[in-house]
Amino acid sequence: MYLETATKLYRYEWVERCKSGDHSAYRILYEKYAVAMYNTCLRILNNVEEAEDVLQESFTEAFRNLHQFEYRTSFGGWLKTICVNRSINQLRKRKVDWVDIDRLSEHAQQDIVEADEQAIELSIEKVKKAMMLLPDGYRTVLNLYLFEGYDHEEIAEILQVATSTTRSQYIRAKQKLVQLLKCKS
Amino acid sequence: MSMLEEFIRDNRNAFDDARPSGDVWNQIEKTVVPTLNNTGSVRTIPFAKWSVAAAAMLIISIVIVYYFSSVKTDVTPAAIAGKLDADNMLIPEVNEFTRMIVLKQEELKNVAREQPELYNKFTNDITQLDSAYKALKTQLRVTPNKEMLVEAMIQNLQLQLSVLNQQLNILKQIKQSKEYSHEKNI
Repeated sequence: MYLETATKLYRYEWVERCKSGDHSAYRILYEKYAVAMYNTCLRILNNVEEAEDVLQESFTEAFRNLHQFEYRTSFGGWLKTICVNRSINQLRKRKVDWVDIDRLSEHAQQDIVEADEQAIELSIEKVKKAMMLLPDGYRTVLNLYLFEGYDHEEIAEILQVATSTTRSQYIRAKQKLVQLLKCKS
Repeated sequence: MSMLEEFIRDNRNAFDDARPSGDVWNQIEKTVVPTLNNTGSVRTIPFAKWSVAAAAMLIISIVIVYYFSSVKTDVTPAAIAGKLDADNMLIPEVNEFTRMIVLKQEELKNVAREQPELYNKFTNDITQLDSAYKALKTQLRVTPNKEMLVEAMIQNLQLQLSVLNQQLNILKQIKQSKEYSHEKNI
């Protein structure tokens, strides 16, 4: 608890230093958050160039609007919202259909059951590779829920779809991932 | 929670293993840091810049005035010296110059109210030139070579007038730029 508070204060100090015009503080903030933010962008976009572009745009936006950041959330959380929104916007340019699940017949939707995960052997590398094989829509929902910790209501808001859509999309995406992992192993 | 979900949550940090290239920071620095420099010290830089500009313009104007006054022949010192009033040393051309100088000084005083520091510097320049003029004037009574002395006096007055004009221009430009930046802020 104390450690968490101390870490927060330490990080906020760098935000304050940036606000007061200390140029070196911008570099330090970048170093602290760049890797986590880059991986978030990369998992959504599945493309190195696009992820680097979005990372650059997100930090630039955050630094330019730093005076608007008023600690309603942590700096990392604020920055992540910018990164996720920008990544989704970038993904929209690929004309991703978030709601394709809705077009499935009722019969097909009833078929969605929890995938059998018992038989698969899990490793970080395997999961990463399988994630990269998922279609953009599935990968995004799975990412936002499993990796970025958003709940279905938040994901629905980010993707501008119904909560029921993200729920069913998530179950289907996870099923697809398990299938891919099974194939791999 | 399923096995897969559990595995990902337990190993969450290990998944963040990709690193962005160094170019990303370079681009951020290029776009963010210049704008920071522009907004960082709004209050101090403009006056410093204006002082430098004012000093540079003064030096340039002095050089130009010296150059032209040395070539100029329309005010012939010989003719003026000839018109010298033996009793009180009145020179008509000189009177005209001094009258204009007084007018310009009044104008400068009005314009410079908002720039007291700059006004002090400006008046110092004119005071120095004026004391040089007074010294010449006292010498005029005793010197045998009146022609050269009158030439020097006229040059001094021309220089005073020209410097005053430049000073007025500088002050007007400062005022304009302030009004412009004020509009921008709105």
